[in-house]
Amino acid sequence: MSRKQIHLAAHFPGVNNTTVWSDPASGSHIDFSSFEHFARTAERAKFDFLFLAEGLRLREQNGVIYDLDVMGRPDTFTVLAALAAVTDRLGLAGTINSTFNEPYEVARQFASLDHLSAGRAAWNVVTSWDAFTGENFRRGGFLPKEKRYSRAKEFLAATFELFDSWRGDEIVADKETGEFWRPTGDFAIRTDQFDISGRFPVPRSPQGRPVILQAGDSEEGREFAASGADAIFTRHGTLEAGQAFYADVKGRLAKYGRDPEDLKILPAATFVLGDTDAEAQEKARHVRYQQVSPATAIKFSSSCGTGTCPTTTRTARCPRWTRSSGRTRSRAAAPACGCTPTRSPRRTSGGSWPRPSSCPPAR
Amino acid sequence: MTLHLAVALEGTGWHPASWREPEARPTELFTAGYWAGQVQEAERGLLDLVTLEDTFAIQSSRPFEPDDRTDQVRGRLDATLVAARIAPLTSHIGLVPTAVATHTEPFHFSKAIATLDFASRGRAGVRVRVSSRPDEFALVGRRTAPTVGSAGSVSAGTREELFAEGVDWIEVIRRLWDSWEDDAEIRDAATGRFVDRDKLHYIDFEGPQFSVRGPSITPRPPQGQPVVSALAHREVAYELVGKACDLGFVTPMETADIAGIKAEIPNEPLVFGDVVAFLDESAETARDRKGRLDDRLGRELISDARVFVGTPAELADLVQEWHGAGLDGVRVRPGSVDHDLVRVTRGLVPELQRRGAFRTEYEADTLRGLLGLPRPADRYAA
Repeated sequence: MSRKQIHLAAHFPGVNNTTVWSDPASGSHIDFSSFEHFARTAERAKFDFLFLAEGLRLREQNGVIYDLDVMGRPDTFTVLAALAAVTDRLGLAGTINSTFNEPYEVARQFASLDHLSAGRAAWNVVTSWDAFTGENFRRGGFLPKEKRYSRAKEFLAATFELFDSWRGDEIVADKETGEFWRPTGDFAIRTDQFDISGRFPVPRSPQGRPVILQAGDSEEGREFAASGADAIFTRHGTLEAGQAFYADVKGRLAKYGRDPEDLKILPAATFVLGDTDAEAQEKARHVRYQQVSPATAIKFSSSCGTGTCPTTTRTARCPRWTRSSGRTRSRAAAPACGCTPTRSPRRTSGGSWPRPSSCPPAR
Repeated sequence: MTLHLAVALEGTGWHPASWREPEARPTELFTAGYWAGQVQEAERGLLDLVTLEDTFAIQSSRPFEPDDRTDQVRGRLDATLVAARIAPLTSHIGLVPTAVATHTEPFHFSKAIATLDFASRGRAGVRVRVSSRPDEFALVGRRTAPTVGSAGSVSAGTREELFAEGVDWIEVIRRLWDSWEDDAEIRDAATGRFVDRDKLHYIDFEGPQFSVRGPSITPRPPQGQPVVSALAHREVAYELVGKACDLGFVTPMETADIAGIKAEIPNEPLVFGDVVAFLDESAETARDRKGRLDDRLGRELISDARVFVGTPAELADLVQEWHGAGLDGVRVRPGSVDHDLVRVTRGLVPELQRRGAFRTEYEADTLRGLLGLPRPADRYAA
C-alpha cells in the first residue's frame, strides 16, 4: 500500500507581529527579490504552493495607523504573475476578497494568471464587510455583515459560470478557411448581489478554474468550504481538535454531492528547527522574545480581557477574536486580518509554533 | 531632443487579418512565451517601452457593442498580468499595460502598477483608457450604461463625465503611490516601530464616482510615480493627457497636423505619434503584403492612426520628420507583429542609429530615466 503523501504550502511572512523585522536577516517585505527567493526555495523543496495573504487597508488602533508590525504588501495578482516567470511547477495561491471586487474582473484575472502560469493558479476566497476597508473602494461599506458569505457564494458561483463559459475547443485558428473561433463565453447572471451579462473574454485556462482555498473557521466559513472549496486551512493544532474539525467539515460535503476526498484539510504551523530539540527550543525562545517588543507587549496588554482586537478598525470589531474559543485564540499569534491575540501564543511540543499562518486572513 | 520609440502590442498585429499570415502564431496568443518573445525582441531593439492593448470586454469590430465575427482574433489575457509575467524576463524596456479606468478600482490598480514597478525594478507605466461601451458597463452591473445615440456615439456631456472620472482615477492612483513616503519604513528597534506613521498619508480623495481614503497597502514604488499615459484623438482626451499624464499617444495623419494637436494638449507632457506599419525590404513587397491582408479582410484597412506601407528606411524618414515637427517619439503599431516587429528592431532602429538619431545602448535602468523624466518628489513629503 502506498503511503499517503503530505501536501506542503509556504506562507510568505509579514504584516503581523510574528515577523522579527528587527533582525537584519529578515530582509525586505516588498522587494521582488524577496518573493523570488521565497518562491524558488519552496519550489526547490517541491512544495505544492506558495500562499499570499491580503488586507486592503492598513491596520489602525485608536484611529491611528498601527506602526509596530511589518506593513506593506504587493498587489496579489501582479506579484503572482511575476513569480510565474521565475518558477515552473510551484502553485501560486493568492487571497482575493469577494466583497471589494467584481466577479467578471476577478475571473478574468484568475483565468489570465492560470494561462500565464500554465495551470498553477489558486484562490483563497475571503470575505469582509466593514465600512473601514470600504473607504478605499467605489462601493464603500455597502455590504451588511450577515450578507458577506452569501455574497461570497454568489461571487464564487458567478466566476465558475464565467470560467465554464468556454469549453476549451473554441479557438480554431484555421488560416485557410479564415475561421478564428466559434463564438462562446456568453453569460447572464442575476442574483441578490449581481446583475451582470456579456461575453467572457478569456479562453478556458489549463486548470479550467483556479484551485479554491478557504480559511474561515466559523460555521458559515466551514459550510462555504464544504460547498465549493478544494482545500481548507485550519488552525487546530492538537490531534483531538484536528480530528474533530476533520470529521465536522468532511461530514458537510455529502449534502453538496461531494466526496470526502474532494476537500483537503491543511493545518498550519510555524517551525523553528535546530539540530537538537534543545537547540530548537532555545531558538524558539529567542524568536518569541524578538516577536514581542516592549512596545508590542504594551499594546497587547492594553487590550487584554476586552475581547476586542487591539488593532481593530474604527468601525468594526474583529469577528474571529470576539467569537473564538479561548483555546483557538491562544493558538494563533496574529491573524493576517489585522488582529492580535488577547493572550500570547503557546508553544507546542517539538519546537513547533502555533502562529499566524495558522490563521489565514479570512474574516 | 532625444528621439523615443515604442511598440504597441495587440494580438497578432493591428491588421485584423494578420493572424492568417504565414508567420503568425494565433494559437500561442494565450501563452506567456508568446508575449515574452515579443517584448524581448523589442528590448533587443533598445525601444523605450512596449504598450499592451486591453479592453474590458472582448474585442469587437463595432465600437459600442459585441459582434459575432468569427474571422478575427477574439479573446485576450489581462494586460497588467501579462506585463508582470514578462517583467522578470526583461531588464531595461518599459512595460505599459492598458487599464480601463471606468470599470476598475483605482485602489487596486494603484497597487498593481506599483507592484509591476517593483517586479520590473522601475520600468512600469500604465496606459489609461476610458470606456463608454454599454456592453462593458453590463459586465460589472454597478451603474447604468450611457445611451448610444442614433449617430452611434454617446453624448458630449456623457463623454465629458467619463473623461473627468478618468482624470480622477489617475489622481487617485498617483496620490496612492505617494501615500507612503520613500523613507516611511524605519525599522527602529529602539522604539519598536516598523514604520514612521507621520510618513504615511491619507489621500482623502472625494469625487462624484468614488471616494478613496488611503493610504495604499503598497509602499512607494521604485520610480516614485510610474509613467501614466493615454491615447488621445480629440479635445476631452487631449485634456486628460495634459492634466494627468506624463505621456500621450496621438494620431496625426500628416506632419502638418502635429503642431495643431500639440497646441491642444496643456502642460507639455511627452507626446508620441502613432503609426500602423507594414515594413518590407522593398516598398512594393510591403504594398503587396498589405494588399493581401486587405483582400482577406474584404476591404482596405481603416485605422484611427496613419497607416505606413514601405521600407524601414522610409519609415525612418517619417519618424525623423515627425520628430522634427515637435513629437518626442513614435509608437509603432505593427500591422502583422511576427513580420513587422523585427523590421522595426532590426531595420528601422539600425537605420536611425546610422543617422545618429537613436540610442545605441540603454542609458538608464528605469522607464522614467529612458524618457528623461526625473524621479518626482513625494507630494506629501514635508
